[in-house]
Amino acid sequence: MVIELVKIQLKRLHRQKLFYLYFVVIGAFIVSNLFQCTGKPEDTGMEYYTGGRFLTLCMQSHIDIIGPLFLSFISALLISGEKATGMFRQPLLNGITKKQLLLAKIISILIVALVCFLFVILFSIILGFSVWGSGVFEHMKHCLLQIVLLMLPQITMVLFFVFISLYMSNISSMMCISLILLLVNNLFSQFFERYISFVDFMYYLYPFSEYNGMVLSANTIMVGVIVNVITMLLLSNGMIKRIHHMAM
Amino acid sequence: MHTLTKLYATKIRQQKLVYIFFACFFMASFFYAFLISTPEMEELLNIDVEIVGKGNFPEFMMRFYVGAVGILFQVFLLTMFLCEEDRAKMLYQPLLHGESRSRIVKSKIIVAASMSMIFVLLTAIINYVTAYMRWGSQIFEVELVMGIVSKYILSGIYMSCLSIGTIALSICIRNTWKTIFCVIVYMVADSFVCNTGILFLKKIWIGYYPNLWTFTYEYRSLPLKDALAGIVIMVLYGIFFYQMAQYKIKKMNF
Repeated sequence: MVIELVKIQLKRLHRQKLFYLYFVVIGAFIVSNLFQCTGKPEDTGMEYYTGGRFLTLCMQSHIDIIGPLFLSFISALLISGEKATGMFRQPLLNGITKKQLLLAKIISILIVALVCFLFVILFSIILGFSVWGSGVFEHMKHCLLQIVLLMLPQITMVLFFVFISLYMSNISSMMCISLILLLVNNLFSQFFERYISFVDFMYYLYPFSEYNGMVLSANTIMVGVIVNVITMLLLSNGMIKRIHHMAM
Repeated sequence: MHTLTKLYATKIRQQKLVYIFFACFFMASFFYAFLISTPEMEELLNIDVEIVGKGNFPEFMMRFYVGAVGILFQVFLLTMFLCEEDRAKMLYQPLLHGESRSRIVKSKIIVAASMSMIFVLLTAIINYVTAYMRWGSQIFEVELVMGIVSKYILSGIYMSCLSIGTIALSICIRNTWKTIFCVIVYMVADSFVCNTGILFLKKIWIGYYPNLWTFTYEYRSLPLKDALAGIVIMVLYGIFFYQMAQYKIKKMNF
């Protein structure tokens, strides 16, 4: 049942032009990163990101604002948008439970997040390879660690957006709230990282990608994993409660 | 003021998201004003506080609103104001009370354009308040203040034109996410046009002038010629968007 529902959601997303726009936008960012790294990188301060660290730079572009905003949009479209048009409850008429419906939505958005992240990785490796050859694999071990670590806050972020979408009545209000939350997170991550690192899972998008020269230490990884897992558990509990009490 | 305009203005005023957004903006401005002076922050943000601080601080903070954030926030609000109203079958309600289609669009456009201008001026006030709290009265150097306020007003005109464009787009498309999609396409196109070397294309592109005012003439006085050229282009775009909205609403099948 859940798999069928996931297939339907993905088919719907497959037809959305926005899905392809994301690839165009992030592709443009990656190409622009490449130009900055290949021209005179010392002028733009990009010499650190040439060769093996190009993938890190592209992952930073993805997690900065485009990726989170896109995921919030997908959540808004699949949950808040459907709630607004009265389509959200339709699968319940076919014998699907509320929990199964929620699970299908989460899995669909997680698949989208994974596809987008894989696109960024593959596209940047291909472009990097065309310029630096095998030099693009120079720090692959480190990049692989970053990839694995970045998956965690992205999964939590999907759960977080699904959780908010369950409370929002339309796409616009969901997007407004997401924009505000992303800005607040960005602000706190810049100025209060010492305090925010113990509660904010989204903060770890930055150290895990070594954003702005942040150092990825064993302690950061450990705290990051714990904060994310706890947030995931809390969000899952919150979502189950919300969907249970939600008037369909 | 026309009753319908008042009604739409009240609707925007009642949006709690607006207050939350500006509370967050105040917080951001406050933290920037007080924390950018530290050497770590200067290094992290790659700025020189002697340049971006004191009297120039409101201009430094302007780019945080008049750009992707402000445009996105505005488009989310306007789609809520128009597309969601259309979906809830509320858009045609004034017609049942004797109002014309043209009046509906006119009121919507007046409210949207004023809202954009007020939001930009509000960010100016917020930035001046936080700059005053941090540096005191030394930020008020008459010539500098005049220059920065004029840049804010010009940015307000740009944001107002974009909001009229968003209204026109919402009426044409009648779908929330498709309207947001088109605005994102505009933003991507804008960054490409502004970086292109084709001067003629730049000169007729609405997004080129705020870029010129914000980055090329950053912390410098703006030549009258460039300001006027920008205003003329924006007014032309505004008139085009207005006419398009009026034309489309007449063809709209409720």
